[in-house]
Amino acid sequence: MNIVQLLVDAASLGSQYALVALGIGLVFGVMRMINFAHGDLIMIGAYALVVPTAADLAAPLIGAWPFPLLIAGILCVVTLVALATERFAFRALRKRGADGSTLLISSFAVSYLIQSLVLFIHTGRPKSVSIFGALTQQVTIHGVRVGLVDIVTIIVTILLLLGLSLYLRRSRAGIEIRAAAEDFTMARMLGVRADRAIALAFGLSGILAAAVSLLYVAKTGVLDFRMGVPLAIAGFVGTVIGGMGSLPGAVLGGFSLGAASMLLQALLPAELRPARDAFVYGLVIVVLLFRPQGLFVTGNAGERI
Amino acid sequence: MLLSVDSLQVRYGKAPAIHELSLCVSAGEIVCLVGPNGAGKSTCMLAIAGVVEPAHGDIQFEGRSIRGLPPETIARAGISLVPEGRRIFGRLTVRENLVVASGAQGGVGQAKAQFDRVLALFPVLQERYNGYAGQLSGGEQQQLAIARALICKPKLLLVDEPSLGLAPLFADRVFQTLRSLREDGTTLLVVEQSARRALALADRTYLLRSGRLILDGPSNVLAADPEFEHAYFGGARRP
Ligand SMILES: Nc1ncnc2c1ncn2[C@@H]1O[C@H](COP(=O)(O)OP(=O)(O)O)[C@@H](O)[C@H]1O
Ligand SMILES: [Mg+2]
Repeated sequence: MNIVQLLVDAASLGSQYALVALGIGLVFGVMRMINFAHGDLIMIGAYALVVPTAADLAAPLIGAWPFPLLIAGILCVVTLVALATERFAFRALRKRGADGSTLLISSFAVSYLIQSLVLFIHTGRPKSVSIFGALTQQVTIHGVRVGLVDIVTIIVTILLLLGLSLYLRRSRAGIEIRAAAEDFTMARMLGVRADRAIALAFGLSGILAAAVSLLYVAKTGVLDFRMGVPLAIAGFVGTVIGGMGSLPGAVLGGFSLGAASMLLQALLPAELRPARDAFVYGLVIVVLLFRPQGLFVTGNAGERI
Repeated sequence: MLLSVDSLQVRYGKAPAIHELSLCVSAGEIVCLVGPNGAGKSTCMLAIAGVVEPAHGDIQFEGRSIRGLPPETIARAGISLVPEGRRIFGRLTVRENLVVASGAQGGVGQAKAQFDRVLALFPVLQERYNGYAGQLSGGEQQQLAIARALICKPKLLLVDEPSLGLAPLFADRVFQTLRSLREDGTTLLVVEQSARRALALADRTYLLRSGRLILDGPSNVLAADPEFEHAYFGGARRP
């Protein structure tokens, strides 16, 4: 495999993990909750592409809509589900003063609930669906063949990061979210509405999850009701490597994790490849032993109250 | 009466931090709360701001009970707290710290007059407008914390130990600012450790110790009362 190809692959998986980690990091910032169900939002976005049925063949539903509508449709579905989990599961717990670990457990419950529903409706058999067929091509750049879907993943990720960063810096709601992530009670004492700030963070995380749904399915074409779990773990580990509570940290952490696992996949001797994840997460443990505050956190920015 | 606190009791877990406290503040006044460390002064401020929930008693603002309301509702009703330790958002710029507080007015546009006012009041914030608030000095952070509270256009400004950690010269300036705020029509309830400073600032002063009200009265009367100092440091309640 060519080195450029390898780097593109690594950056593509890194981008995907970065988006997942950022979605988890946004919610963690305002709520101090690790939302394990984030992976299942991604799964919901993927399943929304096809007709809900137990039949073997997955006939496309939203997946058959014209391209702009398809994207808008998946964005709406995932964002609405994200908002619904906040409104109907997490809000009540938060109002009763549940701590971070209670909230984490409840997010496991939400995660299993979503998975069970999908299992019930679609059965547990993996299905395949094809969207954005044009993306499956390879393109040749300077004589190197790379997957178009990987290039698109990287570009979409950069655009989303730029857009989100602009939103968080320029809009009042974005500034409120950043303030709430730093000192939630103080933000409230200045009139920031807690419910709104948290719902907004969930909404933004839903948008990121929807983007991952589409990029993931465009690349793999496979639907599986457990597909969100490894993604959520990767995103969670990414936020930890990056330093909990720091959004740039989450992005860099997620990216490093994805890139590292792709590089290991290619560079490990063939007989060790099945153990790739053992290497990746072993590396994570080593990193955290030396920098428990996270790789990309400077000073006390990662310190929480 | 702008604010009246009636038989307030606040507990952390089982231990009461405030046993029983009644106080009031009329519009236009500066009232000080003094007392040694651990007296319950900050707890009282947080209870008024809606951050800690009282176990007993009532808190009324403009004649309506605000007990149990969430902090954002109380802030929007016209009570702003400059908390102990300032709690500025260090990873936000000075401007962004002020923007956070503008939501109560409906946004930066609607809060324009408040922005102009605080930047005139604290010119150093104008100089550091786009710098990170975490990089301000302690005195500058205190100014930012007060400025931020003023963006909410409070009718009642609560200030908890504004001189904490400041050099005396800077502390004097902060107190000068608080006086000027009153002249502009803001009512103030100020917590201060130093009885001397408190009595010099306030129209009326409450002395708190171990979660109980020990003494209260017009500052000039208390200043002349030999028992005041005695009570502050642990004497009995006046007979
Ligand atoms: N978050 C808290 N949890 C438990 N106890 C607290 C907390 N905050 C304050 N206390 C206790 O409540 C009492 C009053 O504290 P505080 O209101 O901070 O006093 P002051 O501001 O007058 O120094 C003290 O005994 C303190 O230890
Ligand atoms: Mg205090």
